[in-house]
Amino acid sequence: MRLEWWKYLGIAILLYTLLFGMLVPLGPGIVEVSPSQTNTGPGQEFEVWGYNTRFSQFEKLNVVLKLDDNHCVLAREYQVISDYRLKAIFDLPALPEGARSSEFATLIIYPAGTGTAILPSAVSLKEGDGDSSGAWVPESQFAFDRNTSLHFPYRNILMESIRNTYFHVALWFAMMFILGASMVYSIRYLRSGLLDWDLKANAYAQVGILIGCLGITTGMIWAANTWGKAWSWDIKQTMAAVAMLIYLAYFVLRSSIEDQEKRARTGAAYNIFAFATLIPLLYVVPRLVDSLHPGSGGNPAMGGEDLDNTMRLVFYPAIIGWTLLGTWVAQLTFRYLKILYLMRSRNLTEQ
Amino acid sequence: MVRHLELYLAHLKNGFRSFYKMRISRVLSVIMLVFSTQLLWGQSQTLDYYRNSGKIYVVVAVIVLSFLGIVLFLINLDRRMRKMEKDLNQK
Amino acid sequence: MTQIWSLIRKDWMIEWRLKYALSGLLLYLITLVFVIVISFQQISGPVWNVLYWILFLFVGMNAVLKSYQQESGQRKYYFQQLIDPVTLLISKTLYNIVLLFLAALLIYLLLSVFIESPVQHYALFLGTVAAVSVSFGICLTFISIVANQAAESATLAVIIGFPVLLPVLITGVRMSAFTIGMSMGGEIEGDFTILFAIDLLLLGLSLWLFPFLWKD
Repeated sequence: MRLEWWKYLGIAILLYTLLFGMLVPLGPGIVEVSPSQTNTGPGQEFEVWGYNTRFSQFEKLNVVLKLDDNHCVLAREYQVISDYRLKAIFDLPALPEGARSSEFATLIIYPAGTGTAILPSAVSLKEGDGDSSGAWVPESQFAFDRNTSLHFPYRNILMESIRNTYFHVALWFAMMFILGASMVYSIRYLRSGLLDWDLKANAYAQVGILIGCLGITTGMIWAANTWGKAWSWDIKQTMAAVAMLIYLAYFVLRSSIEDQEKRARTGAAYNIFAFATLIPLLYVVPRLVDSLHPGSGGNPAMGGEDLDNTMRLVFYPAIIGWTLLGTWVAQLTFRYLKILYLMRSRNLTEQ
Repeated sequence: MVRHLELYLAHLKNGFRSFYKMRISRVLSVIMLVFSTQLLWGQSQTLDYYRNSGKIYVVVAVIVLSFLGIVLFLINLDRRMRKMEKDLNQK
Repeated sequence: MTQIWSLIRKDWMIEWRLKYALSGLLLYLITLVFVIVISFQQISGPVWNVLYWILFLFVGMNAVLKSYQQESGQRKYYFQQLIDPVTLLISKTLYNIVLLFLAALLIYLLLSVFIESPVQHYALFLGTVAAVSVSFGICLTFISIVANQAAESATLAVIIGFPVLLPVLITGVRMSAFTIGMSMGGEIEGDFTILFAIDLLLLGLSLWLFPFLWKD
C-alpha cells in the first residue's frame, strides 16, 4: 500500500510553523542606551530605547543596572517619554573592591511589556570622582518575573530575525536528513544491485543540494542584516560551500560515466564517502575555529540560551516539516528519473 | 496600433522565453536577483529603521526565498516531465 | 602480508624504472619552491605555514593521482585474477602514505635551504606532517580510484579531491601553526584526535567500498 498521509502532514506542519513562527510576538527588549559609557557618581542620566515595550502602561517600572549577582542599583527616578522611550537617572555607587578600571553593566527593566527587558553589557562604567549616596544591593532584592506569556526571546542584533531559526536553521537540519537518506539508498544499492535504489540516491542528493543552496542563500540574507556582510568567510559558511562543492562533484562524476551500471556503482561509493566527509566538515572543524555562528569559538551552542522552550515548540516541528516536504519532492524526482530510465532503455527518448 | 502592440508583446515574450531557455543565463539571473536584493537591504541599515520594523523583512525574505527555491525546482521538474511526455507521444 | 610487501615493491620498481615520473615530480617541486622564494623574498611565520601546506597539497595530488592510472587496461584484468582487492588497496594506500611523507620532508628541506624555517618544535612538526600524510594518503588513494572509473579522470580527480581534502588541510594548518609558536586556541592533542578519527572513518569506508569499484 502506498502511504500518502505524510505528505499532507508535512504541509500541515509547515503551515503550523509559518503561523506560529510568525504570529507569536517577541518579548520586550532594549535596543540602545545612551550614553553607553559613563563615570560613577550621582545623577547619571540615561536615555533608553525599547523594542516591543509598553513603558507607559505600568504604574511603577524598575530600572536596574546590574554588575553581577551581588551588585545591582535601582534608578533614583525615571521619566517615561513614550512606550518605547524613557529617561532614567541613577546614583551610581563607586565600583566594588577588586573591580577592573571599567566594568560593563547590564540594564534590566521590568515590567516592560510581556516580561522583562534586558540588555547585556549596556553601559561601561568607569570610576568617577564624586561621592554617591547610592549603594549596591544584591539581585535577590528584585523580583524579576520569569516570563510566563507566550513569546520568543529578544536578542539585540537579531530582533525579529530570530524567527529565521525555523527556516534557515531548520533547512540545514532537513538537508542533513535528506542527504543521509541519499547515503542509505546508496548503501542499499551496493547491497542489492537494484537500480531503483541508485535512482533514489540520485533524487535525494539533488533535493539535498537544492535545500543546501537555499540554506546558503537564506543564510547570506540573514548575515547581510545581522553581521553586516553577506559573506564574511565565517568557517561555517565556508564549510557549507565546500559541502555543496562535494555534492556537485557527485553529479559531475555521475555525468562523466557512460555505462549505467558502472555509473551507479561509482556514484554510490562516492556518495557514501562524501556523506562521511560531510560530518567532520559541518560539525567537527567549525567547532575548532572562531565563528560568528553559535556553537563554536566559545559561543553557546544550539540548545543553549539561543533556543528557549517556546522556540523548541516551533523549531523541532519545523525540521520535521521541511524534511517531509523535501522527501516529497525527492520522491517526485525519483519517479521522473525512473520513467526517464525506462524510456531510455527502450529508446523512446533522446534526453 | 493594437496589432503592433500585440506583435511587440509577443516578440518580447519570445525573447524572454529564449533567454530563459539558456541554462546559464537562468542561473545568472537568479544570482543577480539575490545579489541585487542584498545590496538594497544592506543599504538601509539605519537604527531608526530597525526600531520600527525589527528586521521582520529579513524573515519574510528568507521564507519567500526558501519556498521560491522549492517551487522553481518543481517547475523545472514539471518542464522536464513535459518534454518526456512529448517524446512518448511522438513514438 | 608478503603480498602487500611485494605489491609495494612492485609500485616502487615501476616508479623507479619510469624515471620521468619521479624526476618530473622533483622538478615540479623545485620549480614551485623557486617561484615562491623569488616572488616572496621575505616570508613570515604564518605565511610560511600556509605556503608549506599549499605546496604539499599540489605536490601530493600530483604524486598520488597518477599512481593509479597505471592500473588500467590489460594489467587490471591480470591483477583482478591474482589479488584480493583489500590487499591491493592497503598496499596502494601504504605506498602513497610513504610517498607523501617523503614529499613533505623534501618540501621542508628545500624550503629551509632557501628560507630560514620558523619551526620551533621539530618532533611535533614531524608528527603533524606524518599524521596529515596518512590522512592525505587514504583520501587521495580512494579519490584516484573513484576518478579512474570515469573517462576524464585527471580533471575529475581534482574536482572531487579538493573539497574532500579541505578539512584535513585546515586541521594540518592549525597543527603546524602550533609548532611554529602561533597559538590558535585549544590543544594540539585535540587536532591529532580529530585527524585520527577522520583517518579511521575514511579508511574503513574505502576498505568497504573498494571491492565494489574494483570488479567490472
